[in-house]
Order: sequence, then structure tokens, then C-alpha cells
Amino acid sequence: MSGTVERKLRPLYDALDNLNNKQVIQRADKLLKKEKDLHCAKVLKALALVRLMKNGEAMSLLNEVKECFPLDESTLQAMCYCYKELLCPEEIPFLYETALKYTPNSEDHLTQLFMSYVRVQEYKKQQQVATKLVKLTSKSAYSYWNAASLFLMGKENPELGKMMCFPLALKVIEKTKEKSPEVAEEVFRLYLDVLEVLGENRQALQELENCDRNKLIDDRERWRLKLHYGTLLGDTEMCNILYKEAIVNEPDSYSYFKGYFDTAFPLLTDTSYTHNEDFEITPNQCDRSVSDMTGLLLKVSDGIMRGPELAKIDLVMRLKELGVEVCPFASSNLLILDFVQKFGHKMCCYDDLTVVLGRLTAPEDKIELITLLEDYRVTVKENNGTKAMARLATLHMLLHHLESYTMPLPEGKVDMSLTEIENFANITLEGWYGDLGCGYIETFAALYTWRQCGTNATKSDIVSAIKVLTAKLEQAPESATCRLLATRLYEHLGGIGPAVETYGGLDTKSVQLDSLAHLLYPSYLSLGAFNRADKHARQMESFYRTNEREVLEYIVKSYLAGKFNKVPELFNLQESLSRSISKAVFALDKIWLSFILTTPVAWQNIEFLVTAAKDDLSMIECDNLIDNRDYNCNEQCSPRAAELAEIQKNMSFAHDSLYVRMRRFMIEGITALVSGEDVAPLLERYLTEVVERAVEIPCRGDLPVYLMMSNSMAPWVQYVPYLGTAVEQAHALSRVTVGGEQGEYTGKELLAEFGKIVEITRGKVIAEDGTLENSNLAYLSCLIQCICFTLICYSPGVSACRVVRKKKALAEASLEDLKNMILDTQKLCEECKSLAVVFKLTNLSIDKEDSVDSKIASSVEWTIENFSRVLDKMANLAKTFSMVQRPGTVVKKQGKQS
Amino acid sequence: MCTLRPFTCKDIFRFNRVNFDPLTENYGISFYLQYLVNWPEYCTVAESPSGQMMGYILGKSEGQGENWHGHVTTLTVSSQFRRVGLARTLMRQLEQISDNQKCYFVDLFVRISNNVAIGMYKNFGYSVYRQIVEYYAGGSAPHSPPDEDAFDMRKALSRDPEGKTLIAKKKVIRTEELFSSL
Repeated sequence: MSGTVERKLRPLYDALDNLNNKQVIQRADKLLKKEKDLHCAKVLKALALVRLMKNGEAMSLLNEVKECFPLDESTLQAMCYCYKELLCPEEIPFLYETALKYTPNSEDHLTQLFMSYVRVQEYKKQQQVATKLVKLTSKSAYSYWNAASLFLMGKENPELGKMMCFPLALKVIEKTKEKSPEVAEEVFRLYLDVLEVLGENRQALQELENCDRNKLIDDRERWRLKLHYGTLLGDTEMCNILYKEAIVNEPDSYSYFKGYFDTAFPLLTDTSYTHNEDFEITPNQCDRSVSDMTGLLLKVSDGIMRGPELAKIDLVMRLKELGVEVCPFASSNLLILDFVQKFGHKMCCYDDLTVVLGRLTAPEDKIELITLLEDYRVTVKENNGTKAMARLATLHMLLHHLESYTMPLPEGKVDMSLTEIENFANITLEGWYGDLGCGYIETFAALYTWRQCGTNATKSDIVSAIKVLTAKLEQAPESATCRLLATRLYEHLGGIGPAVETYGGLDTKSVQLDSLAHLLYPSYLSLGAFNRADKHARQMESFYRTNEREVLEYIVKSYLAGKFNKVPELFNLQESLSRSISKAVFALDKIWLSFILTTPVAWQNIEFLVTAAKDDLSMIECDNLIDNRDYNCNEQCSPRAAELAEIQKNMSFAHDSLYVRMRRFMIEGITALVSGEDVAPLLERYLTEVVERAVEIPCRGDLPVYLMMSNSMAPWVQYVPYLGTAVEQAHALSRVTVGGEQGEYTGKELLAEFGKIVEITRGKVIAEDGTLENSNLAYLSCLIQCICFTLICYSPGVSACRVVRKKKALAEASLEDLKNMILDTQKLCEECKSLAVVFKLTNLSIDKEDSVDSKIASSVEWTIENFSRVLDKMANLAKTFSMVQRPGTVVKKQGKQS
Repeated sequence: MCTLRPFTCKDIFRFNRVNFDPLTENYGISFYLQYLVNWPEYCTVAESPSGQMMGYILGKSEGQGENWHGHVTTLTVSSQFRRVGLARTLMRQLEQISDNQKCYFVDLFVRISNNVAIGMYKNFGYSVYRQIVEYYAGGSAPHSPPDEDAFDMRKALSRDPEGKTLIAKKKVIRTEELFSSL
């Protein structure tokens, strides 16, 4: 850039640095009036437009500049930056391809071109550029870019990889290594990866042996890689020796013992046991006998380390499964008791034992263990002090895991364990040291909740659990377990207000907003916190945009840093973000909420709103979604903990995938109507892709209450049985929303269908005893959402409706029916509201104003009031719509009809 | 009793239980990627026998000349797995890597109020090198800690047998001075 041009552009750069985007536009316009061809000014203006979210205008400016084939560095860089901001990396290669036509030997342009191909995963093209760079500069770094590109190209197309890419990559690396033997760890890793894909695992092992110790790969990583190649080669003996070596170095690590047993048992040739006091570990020899295994265990065990003690239990259980009883150790149950006696005061004792409890399948073994642990609990209970308390917590967790509370009690014996747990959950933290005390009392609070809030928990059970959890939170606000459980239970009882307050203490941010998107957010919609949902969905839109862009830049940085093995990992991360199911839900909810929250005045511009929705919709990925959500963030002491987490995750993913499709179809339906398109094919697809699929979705009713609220992000699918269970009801829903607009249904039919839905909802939200069913408030939310969609279809702004109405006179009648629907729902809301008030008054007279019950009651009342407000707005809109003179409507015809 | 393995990109979706600890910072994705791309060998996860994430350490190597050192950026252990020597294991791993990379010392920053952590690091052989004024910014959550000073703690590695790098010219510095000295 010449000095004059730079001086002219300086004010624009300064304004950009100060985030004064409007000033950038003004200054650029002024400059461009004088110098029309100052491309860089145009691009800087485009950048300001991008920042002001005027992407369309920015893109057309960029296209103008692109057609002029800019060559100067500053314009290219600025354009590159704009395309990255716009998430259009596919536009960048063209810039440098063009530039290189004029400067074919520019190393800088070639590297930029290479990186632009990296961003769009054009491995072949990036490899070609890397080759050019090698020829031009002879730098070994570019050779490795070449090899890495070939490696990734082969990974993408394995056939081509085997035939050409991998051998070529190997050749390139070996040739470059010959020239400059000093290689970095990353290059060595790439070399090993190439050998692995070529099946040359022996050679990879050899290379590992030969490489300079500690310089390239540290000992732990070297061991891990050797084990990896040993496993790939199916060399059990070698793996056994490696595990033995690891045990000798780190005897406290149970995972090494597990691997050691896993590899020794298939090789077992001698199941007899001979006691040998002079036993010596044979480092380079594979172990094939029971005596070898027990000998090793006895040799490394010192009674203080948990690893070997846990390994003893594992070994005894494995031998018992094999029918081998000879062993110098006690029975597995006695060993477990011994383990608890030794390590029960450590918080991790329970987690340690879960790895062996899974092997305890015989009922008699389970009963024997429960008896042993119960007897020990009685002894421990009599002791005072922190260690005794800690041991009790472990014992209760183990007994909960073994489901001792479901076992019949001996005659005359009363189960006091729940009371005991509650008592411990309520003790104060005085006298406890640091975070451990908090940890144990938190455990008791959680145990109490898990016991109290099972599948058949009543409202009062749940409230008593919340009371224990909130009391705990007052003492130790950092307790995440109590916070999560209390949030879920509040949500279950319809208390969105206290749920938001409780969850807020977790201060979740950044990537947690994606991995924990299933917590709380779904309740915003189902419990009427529409504004909060809208704000959150919008924030998340920017979260995904920013992070997807940044991950892409880190892929480029990986090449620059030579960390080639990170490239596939980062692409996977980028895909996890761009295809995140939560991202799709947020994006679709954002559109939907723009309808529900728009003011009546803006509704006159419904056509504009719907067109904007169409643009947004084209950007939403709804297929091959990825689930990043973490369902293990709140582990439970249940033998089914992992299974339940898996059920929850799978069910939720299935529901939410369906929810995404359903909502997309509905928005598509509306946009099709606006454009005057035929919605019949869309409805056909909707019925097959959504409605029919809905019946295949598993619906598990046996999940404990404390897990229920985190099932799904889709209250619609989760709570409304129209889609979850019955196809007919799903049909009804589709007719009322998208289908109703086709004119296939008469107003009366429509009303009848809708009447069914209202009745189902009434049955759900009002219990048989006439009280409000707080946990089913989501049904009301669904009903309101359903009305909203129908209302949009009747908006005078929807041009296609006008066409339909012109042809069929029943449209007027249908609009009248819609008003009746709203009226029915309003009545239902009024009923619920009066029940909520009764509920609140009842609880106020019993408890203090800030009690758990009162908080929930106030929140429920707020939710229903919010629903009523939205319904009032819709009723007004329906009234307005019926009065609006629709352009294109033939008044004469209507007059005739009437 | 844990398995140490490299921290990978996938772990950022799975570290919630560990990160619920109020003293563990939840950084933006790019922060983690910066470490995973530039110093992957310094990023380690500890897993329990049942496969749960027990804790992790993130660090880096930086500086020039005798200031070439390993740095502990984050060390965190899930509340369930405390007091079993896990932090020591993770720290040793980082020290080993720094030693392999011929670093002179390893340093870390800790809140001056976090006596448990300070005591723990002293046990591991670290000593207070200097104090950095208002290094930690306060959080927005109700129980988040306020703005606070940090102790810069150091431990000499085999390349500095006499512990020359442990003697500070200035005992208290401002955050800006810290960055200009890097």
C-alpha cells in the first residue's frame, strides 16, 4: 500500500479499532465519492456492515470488489477477514488464486492460499499448493504440510489413501527426514500415524524404540503408544508385559491391573496356586498362571494403596467366575468390606468400588454384602468424628447402589436409613474441614433426594427434598449437586422463578451453554418465560457463530505450529458445534419466539417477519445432528446410574431431533403460505418424516422424578402425547397448524380437532381431585404455541391465505373458530389461574411467605398469568384480523356467501 | 489411583462436574484450543477407574533465557476426588514435561486467600516468589470471589540446581508489569 493510500485509509482503520462502525461507513462513503476504485475502502465499509449485522449489504459490496480482482495485500487481508466473519471461508481461495496469477512465486500468497484451502478441507488442493511451496523454497516445513495434506486426503478417501496418499506421505516424510534428521515431536507423530494407516505397526513400534528417549515423547506417552500398537497387532503377550511394567512403576493405578488381568486371563495355562515366598517379578516375561498374578499383587501391595486392594477384589471375582477357588485372598465380599474399612473415609471410595460392584450378579452374594455393610454401618454409627461420618456416607452410597432399601426387612426390624440420611443431610458444617465436609453433607442431601423422589414421588415428597437441598445450599452455596437437583425439582413443580434463581448460582458459561443446554432452558418455553428464552436463544446464536469461526482459525494455527494430529480433532470439534442439536433448537426457537413475542403493530408486517424467518431457516442444519450434551454431570449412586444417563440421553436426542424437524416443518409451512406455494407436498412430508416417526420414539415413564426435567429440550414432544404416543393426535395437531390452511378441513372439523387437544390438556393440567397439576403446565404452553402457529396462518399479511380465502368462503368461518379456540384456552387458563391462587393461599396460610411452597405457588401463578397475557394478545389479533379488509379479497363474493 | 491421558477437544464437553467448582474458571473455547494446539503435551486429564473425569491440568512453556519455564495455567480436581494425591500426580507430570523441555523452573499463580492450595503447593516444593496485585478479576455469580491478588509460586527444576530463579527482584508487582516481563 502506498503511503498516500495508507494515509487516506488510516481514519477508517482507527474507527474500526474503536468499534465506531457507523463512522467507518460515513468516512468510506466520503472517500469513495472522490476515489471510486479504492477497493480497500469498500472492503472496510463491508467489514463495518458485517459488524452492524448487515450481512446482505456487506456481501454485495464484497462481490463488487471481487469482480475487480484486487491484488493489494491490505484489500486481500480485509476481504479475507470479512469472509471469515461472515462464515464464508469458501470465498477466500478465489482471492488468492487470482492474486497468484499475477504473482505466481509469492510465498506469502501461496501460504495464504494453502490456509484458505485448509479452512474448507480441500486436501487435494492444499497438497498441490504445498508441493509448489516446497519447489519454491525447499523448506522442510512445507514438505510436512504436503505429507499432512496427503494423510488427511487419504483419511477422507481410504481407498485412494491406501493406493496413493499414504505411501506418498510416507515417502515425503522419509525423504525430508533424510535431509534434516532433527524432527519435532509433531512430525514424528505424523510419521507414526502414517505408518499405522499403512498397517506398519511393527515398524511404528520399532521407531518408538529407536527415537531419542525423552526428547520426542515422554515415557508415559511412549508407553501408551506401545500399548496402542501392541493392541493393534493383537500381541496380548506384549501388552501383558507392558501392563506389568506399568504396575511395577505405578502400583497404585488400578487401570493397569485391569489391563494386566484382561491380557493375562486369555493366556492362562496354569490355574493352580502355589505359595512362593521368594516370588520375583519377571519384567520381560508374560504372566500365564494364577500364581504369577497373585505373586505380583502380593509383591506390590502394601495395604495403603487403593489400587492393589481393588485389584485383589477384581482378581478374586474373575477367578470365581472361572470356577477357580484357589487364591490366597479372602472372599470378594470380605475384601470389599476390608476396602471400606481401610478407605471408606475417602470420598472416592464409592467410585472405586463401582468398578467391581458390577460383577456382583448372584443375589446371594449381594444379600451377603448388604448384611456385612449394614453390620459395619451400625458399628460406625456409634463412633464420632469426621472419619466416621465420611465412612457412613460411603456406606450409605454403597447400600443405595445395592438397593438395600428395596430388600424385605427381617421381622421386627424398622428401616431407619432414610431418617438417618435426612438427619445427616441436615447437620451443620461446624467442625468439618474445608470442602470435604461440604462434600459429605451434599452426598447425604443427594441420597435423600434420590430416595425420596423416585418414580412414584408425590408433591410433598418433592417439596421435602427441595427443603433439604435448599437448607444445604444456604450452608454451602458451592454445592453443584444440590443446586442441580433443586433446580430440576423446582422445574418439575412448575416453579420457574426459583429454578432460575437456584440454577443461576452455577454461573454456567462458554462451552457449558452448549453441553448443558438441556438444563433449565427447556423450562423457559414450557413455563412461559418466553422473553428469557428469546434472549438466551439470541445469545446462543452469537456463541455458535463466534466459536465456529474461531475453531476454524485454530485449524490453520495447527498447521502453522506443525501440530498436524490436532487437525482432524479440531474439524470434529467444529462439526460438533455446527451440527449441535442444541444449536438447531436455539435457532428454530429464535424464529418461533419472534412470532410469539412480536407486538400487535408488527404483526401487520407478518409477511416481513416470515420472510426473515425463511432466510434464517436456510442457515439451520437439521440433519445428522450431534449431541454434545453432558448427561453425566450429576452422577447418582444407583446401579442403573450409567444406564439411566444413557436412556435419558438417547430419549432426549430422539425427542429433540423430532422437535427440530417438526418446528422446521411448521416454519417452512408458514413461509410456503406466504410465498403462495402449495403446502400439500410439505404436509405429506411432514406426516411421514415427523408424525409417523413420532410413534417410534421411546417414551419411558419409569424415570425417577429428579431426572424428568432434563429429558428433553422439547416440551412439545416431551409432554404432549399428541406426538409422543398417538398418531391420530399428531394428525390433529398438524391439521390445526399447517394442514388447516389448506382448506381441507371445515371450520367445524378444525374446531372439533382442537377441542380434543384442549380436553387432553385440561385432563393433564387439572388433576382428578380438582387441584392444579403443576408438573404438567407445559401442556398449556404447547397449546398456546399451537394457537400461535394457527394465528399466523390467518394473518392478513399471509398472502396465500388471501388466495385460499378467495376460493373458499369457509375461511371467515374458520377465523371465527380460531377465536373460539383462543376463548376456550383462555377459559382453561382462567381455571388454572384460580386453582393456582387457591394453591398459593393454602400454602401461605401454612408456611412463611418465603417458603418453598410459596415460592413455587407464586411462580406458577406468574406462569399462568404470562400464558393469559399471550392469549389476550392473540385474541386481540384474531379480532383485528377479522376486521381487516384483506387486499385481494372479493368483497362482493363474501357478501353473497353471507 | 488414576489414569493420566492427554486432554482432547472432546473433553471440553465433558468437564462440567469438575468445572462446577466455584474456584475453577470456565474459559471460552478458544482459550482451551490455544493450549491444545500449542502445548498439547502440557494438557492432561486424570480419569477414575470407572471412567469419570477426576481432574485436569493445563499448562505451557514460555520465556527466554533463564526465564524459560513451565507454567501451570489450570489445575483442578473434582470435589469427589480430593485428598487422594491427584493434584500431586498431575503436577509431577507437568514438572516432568518441563524438565524434559529443559525448563529452569515451573511457576503458577494462586489466590492469596486460597490457603488450602497455597499449603498444598508448598508441600509440593513451591515457594512464594512474588505477589501480583489484583491478578484475579471477580465473577458475576452471587458466591463468586471478588478481585484478588495472586501469589506467583515457583519450583526450580534440575536445570537450576541452586534455585537462582527463585529469587525475585521485586516482591510485589502489578499485573501490567507481569506481562511486560514475559
